[in-house]
Amino acid sequence: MKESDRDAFQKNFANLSLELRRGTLVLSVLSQLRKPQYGYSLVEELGTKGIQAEPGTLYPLLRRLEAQQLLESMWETSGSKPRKYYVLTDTGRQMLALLSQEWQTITRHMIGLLKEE
Amino acid sequence: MDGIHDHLVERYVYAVTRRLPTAQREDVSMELHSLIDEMAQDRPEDPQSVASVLMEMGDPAELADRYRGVQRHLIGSGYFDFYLLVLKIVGFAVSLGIVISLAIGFAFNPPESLGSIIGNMVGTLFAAYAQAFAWVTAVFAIMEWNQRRLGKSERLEQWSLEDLPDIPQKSTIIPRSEPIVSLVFLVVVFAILNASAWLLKVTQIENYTQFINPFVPEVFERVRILFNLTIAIAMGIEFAKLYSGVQTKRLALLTIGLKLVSLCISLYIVAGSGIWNPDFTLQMARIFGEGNGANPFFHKFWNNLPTFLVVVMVFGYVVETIQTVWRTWNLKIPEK
Repeated sequence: MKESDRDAFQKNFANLSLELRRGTLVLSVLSQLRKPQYGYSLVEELGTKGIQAEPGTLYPLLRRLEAQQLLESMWETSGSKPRKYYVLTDTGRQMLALLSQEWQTITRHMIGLLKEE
Repeated sequence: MDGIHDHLVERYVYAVTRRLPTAQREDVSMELHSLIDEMAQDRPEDPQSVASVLMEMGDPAELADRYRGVQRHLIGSGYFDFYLLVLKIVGFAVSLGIVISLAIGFAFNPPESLGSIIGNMVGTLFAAYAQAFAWVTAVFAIMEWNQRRLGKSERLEQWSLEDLPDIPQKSTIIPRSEPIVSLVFLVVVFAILNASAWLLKVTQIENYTQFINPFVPEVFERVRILFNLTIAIAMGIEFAKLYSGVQTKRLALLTIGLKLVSLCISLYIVAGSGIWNPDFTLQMARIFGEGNGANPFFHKFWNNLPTFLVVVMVFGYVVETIQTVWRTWNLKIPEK
């Protein structure tokens, strides 16, 4: 492969893998919000567990999930700086359970598919 | 954190929040401040920590887009190509129309100098382009908005197989050149009709103080808006054809209906508005020196012209309607 082709290939890989991971972000986020967390602590926690999440993607996502009533939020202003905490609602908990089942099914099937190689 | 960095953060947050709905601004602003603060504090070894955090956060416009969750645009990719095409056609048509109408104007009312011709033309063209651009854009913005609204409601309804569009048969494809040629023709007609100096004051022959004109000027002025309305309708039909690209049943019904409206207006103009100058033949005879009376043949022709035009227009409409219906509904005649 030529240098330029290799670059294009790498770039394409980066895009495709980003696309692959993007779909898993909602589930990742919901799974970590059984206990209240604020945005940045969530970024860090996901990071230490191997899931890279950009704050610029995560913060808007939290808001969307809140609008869908899967999360609820609360400003904590007693500390040195104000932080907005998010936590699962009951609906969010139900959604997390369903999505986890879905995820199990998908991974089972995917493993089957990839073994065929 | 020092003042310069604080200021930088303020500016970044402002750049994001100004693109958001007012109700969200304060909340997002607090959230971003707290986030940037914390991210920067996590890198105590970096003196430029704030700057690097902001760079990492990326373009504020994109971040705002993610917060809003919807793309903001006047004209989306669905319509954009068609929008450009229409702009080109309209631009060309406007240029042509203005050149024609100014040329007619200059022919009957010669300007003093070449400079004034050029000045007049540039000024008129510029104003017309601005108008045309604004109108086209406004129409497309409304179409886009409508589409977005419909798109939302449609998703709630059950989609069914009947919703699938037919694959166009070759015979139903409308070549782009067809509506474009028609549009240009319509613009020319429009320009001529509205450069009305010549229609109103035509042929002032020497020694005759009287203006002769096939039309009654006051009536002509009054019905000109109706003329323009029929042209606008015809243009609407051509744009619909251009957009659709195929002869569909909906398009056929639209065409037949709108043309009927146009026909009624035209019939009124020709037969009901009293636009024809009843003394035209007499005045012509006077100019061309045929004694005191009008040429009897010409006189007869002139008196029957409205009836003749009515017959032609109705006949034309009927033929066209039959043709449209034939083309649209009898598509499945097996080919030899």
